[in-house]
Amino acid sequence: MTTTAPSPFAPPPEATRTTYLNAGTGLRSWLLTTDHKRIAVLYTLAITAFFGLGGVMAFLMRLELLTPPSDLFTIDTYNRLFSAHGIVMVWFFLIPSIPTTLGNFLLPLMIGTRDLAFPRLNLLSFYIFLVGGLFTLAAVSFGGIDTGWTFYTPYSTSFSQTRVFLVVMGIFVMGFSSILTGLNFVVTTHTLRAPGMTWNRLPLFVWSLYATSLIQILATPVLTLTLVLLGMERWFGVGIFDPALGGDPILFEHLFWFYSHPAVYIMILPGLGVISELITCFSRKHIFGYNWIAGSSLAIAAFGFLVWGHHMFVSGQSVYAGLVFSVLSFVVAIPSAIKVFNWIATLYMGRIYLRTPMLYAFAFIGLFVIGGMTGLIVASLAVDVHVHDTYFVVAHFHYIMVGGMLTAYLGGLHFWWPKITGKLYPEGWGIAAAILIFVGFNLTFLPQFIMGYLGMPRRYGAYAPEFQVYHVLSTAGSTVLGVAYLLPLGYLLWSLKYGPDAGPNPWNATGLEWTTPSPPPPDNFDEAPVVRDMPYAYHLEHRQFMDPDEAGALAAKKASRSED
Amino acid sequence: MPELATTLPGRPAPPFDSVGQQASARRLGMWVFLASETLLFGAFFLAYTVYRRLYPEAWAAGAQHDSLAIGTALTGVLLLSSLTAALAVAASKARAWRAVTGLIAATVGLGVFFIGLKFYEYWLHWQDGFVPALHFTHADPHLDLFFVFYFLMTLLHALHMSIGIGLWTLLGVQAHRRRLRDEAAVETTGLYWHFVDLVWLFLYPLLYLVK
Amino acid sequence: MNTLRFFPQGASAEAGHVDVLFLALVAVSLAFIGAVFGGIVYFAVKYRHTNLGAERKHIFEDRWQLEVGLIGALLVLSLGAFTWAGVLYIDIETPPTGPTLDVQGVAKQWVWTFEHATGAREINALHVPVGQRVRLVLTSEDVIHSFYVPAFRLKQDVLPGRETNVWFEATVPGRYHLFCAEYCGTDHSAMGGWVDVMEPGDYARWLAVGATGGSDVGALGGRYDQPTPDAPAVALGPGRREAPAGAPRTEPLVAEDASAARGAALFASLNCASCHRTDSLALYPARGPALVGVYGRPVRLQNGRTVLADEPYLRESILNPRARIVQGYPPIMPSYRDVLSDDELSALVAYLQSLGG
Repeated sequence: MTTTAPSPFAPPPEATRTTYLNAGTGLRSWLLTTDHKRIAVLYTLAITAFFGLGGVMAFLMRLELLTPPSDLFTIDTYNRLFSAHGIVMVWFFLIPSIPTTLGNFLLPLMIGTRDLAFPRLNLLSFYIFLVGGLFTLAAVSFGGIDTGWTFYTPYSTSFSQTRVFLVVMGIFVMGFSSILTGLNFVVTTHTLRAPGMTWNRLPLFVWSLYATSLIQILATPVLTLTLVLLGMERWFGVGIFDPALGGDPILFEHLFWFYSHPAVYIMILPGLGVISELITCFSRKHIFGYNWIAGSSLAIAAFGFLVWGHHMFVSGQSVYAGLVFSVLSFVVAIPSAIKVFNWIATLYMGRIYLRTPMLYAFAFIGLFVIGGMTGLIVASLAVDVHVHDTYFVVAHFHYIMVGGMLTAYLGGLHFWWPKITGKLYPEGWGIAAAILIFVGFNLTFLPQFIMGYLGMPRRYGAYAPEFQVYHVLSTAGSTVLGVAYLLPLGYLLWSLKYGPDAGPNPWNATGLEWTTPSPPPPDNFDEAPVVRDMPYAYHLEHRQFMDPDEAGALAAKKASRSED
Repeated sequence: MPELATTLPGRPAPPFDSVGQQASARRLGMWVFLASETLLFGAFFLAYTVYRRLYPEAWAAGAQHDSLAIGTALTGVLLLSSLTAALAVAASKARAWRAVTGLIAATVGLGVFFIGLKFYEYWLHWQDGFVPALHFTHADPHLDLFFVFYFLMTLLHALHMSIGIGLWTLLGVQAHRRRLRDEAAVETTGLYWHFVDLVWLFLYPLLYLVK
Repeated sequence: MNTLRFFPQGASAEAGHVDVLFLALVAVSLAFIGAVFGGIVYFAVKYRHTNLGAERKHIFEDRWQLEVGLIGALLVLSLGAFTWAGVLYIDIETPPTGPTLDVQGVAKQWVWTFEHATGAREINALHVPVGQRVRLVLTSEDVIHSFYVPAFRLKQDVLPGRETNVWFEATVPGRYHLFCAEYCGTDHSAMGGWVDVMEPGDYARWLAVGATGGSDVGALGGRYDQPTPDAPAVALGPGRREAPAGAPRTEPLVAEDASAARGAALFASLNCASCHRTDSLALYPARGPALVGVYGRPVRLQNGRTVLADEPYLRESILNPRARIVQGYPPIMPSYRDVLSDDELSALVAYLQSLGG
């Protein structure tokens, strides 16, 4: 079996290569690093902690909802739980997750440069994020907040007796981190691409990060202002949003959703980019419709700014506004549909490997389509009048945020884990966890669609007994889901010590990040890379085989066929 | 934000390969930052407009309590400083460092004068009891709201001015010592300064001239 | 009520239309979801790497015709769904042309109050006749609430400081959930009750006898237990507001004697704490003056004068709140003249006295 394909499982050439991991030791070398790869690792630790925290809150809520009355916690505790769950998950997990971890790590590697354009700014972003997060955690620990993550006025400004101001401060601070990260990514993508890395050769993950960054830059300042005004009203009692003081609560909703709807695309767009990478790699095939997938990311970013009013169909805004926001909401779904179509077209005539990342990609597409289609149901005006603020909406956005974004994150994490750590994770465990997550997720959230249409309102700590059966199913599912999320945490950590060495390119994938050793050296590339190919050239002969065993099996089969 | 260079002239800071690449990255970074700032002030202007439509009388009355003379003087000072800033950028491209130093000093001086005058005006408002939440002695809650916007918007603008003054001062000292490491920094700071001036050109009519 | 349901009851003229639209959208969604899942599974099996026999003449060039065709088809489908839903929405939101039966509704943390044209008032319950267009004129006294009757497929946010109208026509007599759908604070989950749709004759009789068929406004969870039809839990006459017994979770400070303890319970059950702080968190702005230590202290009024917060003043402030407003607070407190008995009023004042001063 003499093949020209580089053996992906070959041991690394020398044992003591300088990598970004061993280039400096000690806490200081990590906390003051400007290396985008190390900052990505810092972010990963932080958002994993936030995810764990938000997940525990979610599970406690599901436990409370096993029975109709609020018996496990007081109703005030429940209100604080769902508020903290939303705030932690949205601002300290979903929004930063993929861009600051995988994006931070991979963007310079994928476009073939040494670092982001402003490395110190990158570190500053991390610390701003951390300060914002700690502020919020402090507020949650000392009294909590009971407004929900949406801070609707005048409840949040004039009525709530909880730590609204502290939490709002935390999010206000975190917003700057988001803006600066977006700015860094945009400038890096424009100015630091390697020779030959033209815009139409850019990996699709980079395109999605680029589109995400534009939203972060343009939407976040509006949130900043909104939170300032909210804080002013809360502290000084000046009437901005509270009608009793002469304010307008609908204006708050407009300003809030002007940020928070595009923010949904901040959360999901990077996930869409990750899936494009996984699908093509494990189909061993050029991605179908590169231009359309790249363009659809930009289209989503643009249209995403125009649909915020679909959160307000029953708020009392005018019927005409409702009609315009509804039709635009249908339009914004089309670029997403284009992506799904192109992914499936990529599978056609591919050579499909059902490895863990690919299973996550499949799970993502399925859950994303369910979330997307129910999104259109919610965008349908007359139906939304019924399902708005019910569990139907809760299920819908969890399909996008958890079923979509989190699944993509895990898929990407498995895919690039060998690059990030230099180690292989155990494949069997990976597949088992991926399947368990898919099953647990659906068991958790499918029943919520049914009870939502039945009329179960969201943010209820106590509910009518007829909904109980669905709540019990959902809680059962969340238990499975909780266990399933612990699995990767376990075996990925295990692989750090006991996993086999990965070699530079265990998937035999295209892309500049796979041309450098794993883990990469501090400056990313030993030689400045030059790009000569179109992206995703998986059709080339030497890209076809995943590992030597398979090549051997194929050769044997060919041989036996020629004997016939 | 422009990162002030830490490397020697002619050598780009990592990860850049050339000074030109670094300069274009900083310039682009500033434009992107200003795009973000536009949305920040834009949202402010939107909220201002909504309440002005709701309470036109209070808004007109509020503007009456601002000193038109001071507002006009502030505008003039700021326009002048934009001129000196633009000339400083031009001089830096011509590498006329003496001129750069002088023009930056003039810009800083005008900026400081602006802030001083602005705070003098704040002091006048304090005396008249127009400071919301801290010292507001008038009955009309809508007038209160006008002054909330007045103070938030002008203070945010003054904060931007102060950052600009800080950046100019750093560059001015470097230029004076003939050790300006990064010529692009003059240009990007100039961009920022013009943007902050532009914001004032919207604030001036909205806060001083509305009827 | 406790039978397992997959689909909600429909009891309004619009409910059927909304359901048809919903089911059509679900059918289209299932078709798409099925196509995507089917496609993935089919390709994953057929082109699995171990399946060496599968034909793989790789197609590298993209086909723009496919993409444009898909966009066009999706646009047509989308606009179809949008139009259907939009027309129905306009229908729901447009005022009916004929005469309507008007009911005023007020939302307050965490109570719905409805007042019929005859002056009959009810709390956390709404009685309407079947087959007649009803117009609800809704407003809120504090935060944003949302009027939601799943059986009518109807929801409308209720905003403070403005009136919002909704229309519906109930078609099936029966008892249906009324929920608050917009999060409004502590007892959001308990803010609701029942909508009773009655035959016109029954409705007229109900109005005539002074609205005796009230609804249970018991504690959390308990309120969902349907009261037996012939045993009204709470009798509500016109003009009489029964305090909800739903237990808010604000801890009253120590009450010294029995009267003050009763006052504390009243203070809690009337949700006074939603506006008046009785704890030391006076740092945060509240809707009404903080009450710790107010008894016996001078209070500065809106008109610049000062008054001693003695028993007569406190009584007056509860019964006729707008008479002498404390400086810095909007005149928003409702009168409790018809709500409290003299005995209860004394208990409340005793409780305020016990808060120190």
